[in-house]
Amino acid sequence: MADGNGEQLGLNQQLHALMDEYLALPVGHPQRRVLVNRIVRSIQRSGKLWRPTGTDVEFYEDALMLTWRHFWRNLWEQTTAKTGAYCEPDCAVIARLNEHLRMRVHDLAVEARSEAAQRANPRQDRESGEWTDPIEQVPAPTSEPGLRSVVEDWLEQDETLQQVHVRGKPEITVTWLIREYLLADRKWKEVSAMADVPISTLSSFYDRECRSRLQVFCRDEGYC
Amino acid sequence: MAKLTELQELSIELPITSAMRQTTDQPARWGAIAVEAYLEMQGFGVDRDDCYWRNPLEKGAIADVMLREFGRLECVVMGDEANVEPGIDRLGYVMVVVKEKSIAILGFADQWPIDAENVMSIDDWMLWLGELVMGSQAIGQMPEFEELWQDAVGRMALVARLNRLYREKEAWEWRYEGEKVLRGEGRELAGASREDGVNEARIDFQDLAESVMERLACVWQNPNP
Repeated sequence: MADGNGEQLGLNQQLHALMDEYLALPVGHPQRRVLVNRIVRSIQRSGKLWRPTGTDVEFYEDALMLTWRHFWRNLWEQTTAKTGAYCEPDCAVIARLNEHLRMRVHDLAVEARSEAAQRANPRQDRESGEWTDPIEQVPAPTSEPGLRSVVEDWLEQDETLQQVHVRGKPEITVTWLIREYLLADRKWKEVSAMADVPISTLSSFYDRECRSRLQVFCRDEGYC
Repeated sequence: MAKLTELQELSIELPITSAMRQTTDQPARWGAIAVEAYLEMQGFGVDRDDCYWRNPLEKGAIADVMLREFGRLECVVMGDEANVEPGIDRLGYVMVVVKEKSIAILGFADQWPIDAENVMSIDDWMLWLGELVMGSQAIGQMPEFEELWQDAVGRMALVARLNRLYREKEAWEWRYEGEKVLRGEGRELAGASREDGVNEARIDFQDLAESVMERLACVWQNPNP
C-alpha cells in the first residue's frame, strides 16, 4: 500500500514537472507538442488508468476517447498561455482522470440502458410462434453496388466526360479513367500499364479532373 | 531513422470507439479517425469534409486525413503497405498499428515507399510540422519567392520537399537538387527554344533554389520562434 502510494506520488510529480517544462516554453514552440506526447505516454505506460469490469466493459473505449479529449481541453489553451485544471500544482492528475473516466462509463451505460428500454419490444408471430425484433425488419442502408450502377449510367450518358483527356492521349479520358481505375478497382500500376502513361500523370489527372466531377455528381444525386 | 522498438516506445494509443466502427469497417480508416483526434488534441485543425475517403465514391484503399494549412496525409496500417495507393498529393504517411480495441500511432514518413529508415517517431513528426510552419513563414515573407507557389498549402508542400533536401543532402548539393525540386513543381523552363536559353533558365532556377535553401537553413538551424 505504502509502495503504491509512493509510486503514485512519483508519477504525479513527474507529470507536473513535464507540465512546468511545457509552460516555461513560449507559445508556439515546437517542443511543446513533444512534451504533450511525453505526458500522455507517461499516463498510458503507467498502467494506472482505471478499467471497468463486468458489462460496463463495452463502454470503455468510447469513455476513454471522451476522457482524452477532456484531458487535452483542460490541460491548457493551445493558443494562449492560460492553464487548465490539470496544471494546478495540487491536482492529482491520474486520480482526476480516473474519476472522469468512471463517470463517462457510467453515463454511457445509463444512456444505453434507457435507449434499450425505449426500443420497440420484440413481438411474437401468432401463427409461427417465432419472436421478431422490429429493428431487424429495418432495411440495411443502400450498399455500394447501387451507387456503382448510377455512376456507370452517368459515364454512359454524359458525353462531355469523353472530351476531357490526358494531354497528348485523347483516348485516356475522364470516362475511361473512372471506369478503369475506380469502377474496375485497379491499382495505379495496372492502369498505368494499360494506358501507357506514367502513374504520376494519371494520378494528378484523376485528382484534377475526375475527383471533383465525382464529388459534384455525388452531391447532386444526394449520395453525400 | 528510428527502429521499430523505438517507434513503439514513443507511440501513443487511442481507443477504437463505437462511432469509428459505425462509420467504417476498414481498419485503415479507423486509423485515419484516430489520427484526426490525435492531431486535434495537439492543437491542429482537420477538415473532415475535405478528405477523400468520406465520399462514398472513393476506393476502399484510401484513408486520408486533411490537416488544415498543411495538406493531405495518408494513414497506413503497418504490414498493409502493399494495399496503399500513394497519392501524389500526400504530404506524408502516418503509420499506425491496429490492435483489437485501439490504434497505436507509430510514426510518420514524408516519402513513399516507406521503410524503417525513413519513418520518424511521433515526437520527430511534431517537430517536423513545427519546422514546416517556421520555414513556410520565413519564405512567405519574401516577395522574391512568391512565384514558387500558388497558395499556402502549395508553399507548405514545397517547404516539405526542401526540408527533406536539408536533412539528406550536403549544402553543396542544395543548388542542383533544389533546382530539381523547384522545376518538379510543374514550372516550364522559360525561353527554352535554344540551348543557351535552357542553360540560362536552369541557372536562374539554381540561383533561386540556393537562396531559398539558405533562407530555410538559417531558420532550421536556429529553431527559436
